[in-house]
Amino acid sequence: MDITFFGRLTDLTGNKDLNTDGITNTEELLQRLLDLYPSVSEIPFVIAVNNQIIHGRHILKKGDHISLLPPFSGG
Amino acid sequence: MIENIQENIFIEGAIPVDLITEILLHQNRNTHTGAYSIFVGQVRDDEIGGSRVSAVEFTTHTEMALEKFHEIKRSICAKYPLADFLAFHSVGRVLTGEICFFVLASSVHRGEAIKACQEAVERIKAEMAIWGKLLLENETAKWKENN
Repeated sequence: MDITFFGRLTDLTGNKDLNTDGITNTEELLQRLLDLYPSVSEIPFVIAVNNQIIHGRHILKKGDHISLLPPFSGG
Repeated sequence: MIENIQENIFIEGAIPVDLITEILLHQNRNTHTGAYSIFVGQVRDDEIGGSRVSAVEFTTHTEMALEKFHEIKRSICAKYPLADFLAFHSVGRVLTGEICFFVLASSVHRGEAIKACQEAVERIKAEMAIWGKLLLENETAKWKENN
């Protein structure tokens, strides 16, 4: 499962992306992230699965592409 | 009826003033247009922690951002009778004093052009997956936060 970080998350994780296995839902995803990068708890972000922003608990399937999006700051 | 099919709004680096001039000149062709409202966003030299902003580095989730742009454009064009509507946004580095964001709405009368332009600016800032990192003169950086 590919996870791409955006905005300040790239600084907090030191990475643009992460490839990880064994995650079946967003709760497990968040726990995995906190285990690997505790500082991600410093900022809010939303989760997009295959380019759709999702809310709450969401099942994740093999091959899903996850994007983690902090608050937008364009313009 | 909007004729332009603008696929991509992103420009690498600063938006050239010449491009804006070209766009405005292009509007002249539609002699039924009576007004165009434009927004030009420029990188500002804010002072942060005792040091001034020297540039902003913009990044984007391109696919999501462009999908959202087309949604915003469809919505604005359905709401206001516009002759033309387009926008550009920088990606990559833009120096203070350079242009990073441009929106144009044109119409027969000024009311709808002004409202459409303003609404588009606010929606693009709020809804498009774009991030700005403020690069300071003291070589530190801070992530931009929109109001």
